[in-house]
Amino acid sequence: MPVLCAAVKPAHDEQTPHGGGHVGGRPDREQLMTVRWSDQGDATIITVHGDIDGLTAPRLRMAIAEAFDRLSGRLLVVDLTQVTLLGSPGLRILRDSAEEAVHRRGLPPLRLVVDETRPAIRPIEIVGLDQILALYHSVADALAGDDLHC
Amino acid sequence: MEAVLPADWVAPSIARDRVRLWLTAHRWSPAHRQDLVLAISEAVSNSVEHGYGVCAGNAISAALATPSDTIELYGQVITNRDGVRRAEFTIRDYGRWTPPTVLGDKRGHGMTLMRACADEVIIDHTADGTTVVLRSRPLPRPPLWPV
Repeated sequence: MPVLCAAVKPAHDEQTPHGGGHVGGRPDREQLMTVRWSDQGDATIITVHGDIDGLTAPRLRMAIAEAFDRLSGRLLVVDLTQVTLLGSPGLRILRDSAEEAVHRRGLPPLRLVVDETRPAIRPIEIVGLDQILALYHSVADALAGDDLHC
Repeated sequence: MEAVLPADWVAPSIARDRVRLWLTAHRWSPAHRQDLVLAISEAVSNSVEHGYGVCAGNAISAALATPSDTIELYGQVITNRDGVRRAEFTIRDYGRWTPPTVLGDKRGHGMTLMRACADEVIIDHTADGTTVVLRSRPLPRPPLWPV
C-alpha cells in the first residue's frame, strides 16, 4: 500500500489554472521551520526559526513534548523571536503545551519569548492568548521570570 | 495572480510565497502584506483541513486526499478613482466542509485571524466546496519612487 507523505508530493501537482506550465520550483519545506535546543544553567531553551503552520507545527509539538519528558526540574523556555509566521496550528500547540505543562505534568508555566516580533506576537494577541501564556521580551527575562504582565 | 495548489499541508506555504511576492511587486506595505499573507495562509489551511479533511501532520488522512483535490487561489488589485487600492483574494476548494467541532478542535483560531487580518471575509459553503473572499484594508496609491 503506498504511503503518501504530504511534504514530498511531486512538483507537477502544481499546475496553473489553464494547465499551462508549472507554478514554479517548490522550496524545501523541511527548511520552513527549524527547532534548536540548548541548555543554559537550569533551563532548556528551544529556539524556533521560520514558519509555524500546519505542516511544521506537529514537529514543534513533538519537540516541546520531548523537552517536557527530559526536563527533570529544569525550566523550559521557547524562544519565538525568530518566527516569521505563526498560524492557527502553531497557536493551538502553544496553548495545548502551556496547559499540558501546568495541568497534566505539574510543571511551572511554559515560558515563551516573543520580543516585539510582530509575526509571533500579533497572532497571539489577536486570539487573546496573551492573557493565558507566560510571555517574555527576551530569553534573559524568561530565565529571570520578569514577564510582560508584571 | 492565480495558482492551483495540492490539497495537502504544503499548500499554505506555497500560497504564502506567491502572495508575498505578488504583494511586494504591487508595493504593498510590509505590515499590511504580513497580515494578508497570514489571512490567506489560514484560508488555505482551512481548505486543507476542513475542506479535504487532512489533519495536520497526519499521513493517514493525507492519503485520503486524491491528486485531483485542489485549492485555487486568485488575487487582484482593485483601484478606485482616488487611487485607493484594495487587494482581493479568492480561495476555492471542492471539498466537503467538515465543521471544526467534528475534528475535535472547538477553539480553532483560524477564523479569528482571518477576520482580524483582512477588512472583509466572505465565506460561501456549498455542496460543491467552499469559496472564501478576503478583501484587504484600503491603501493609498503607491509612491512613484522605489521603496
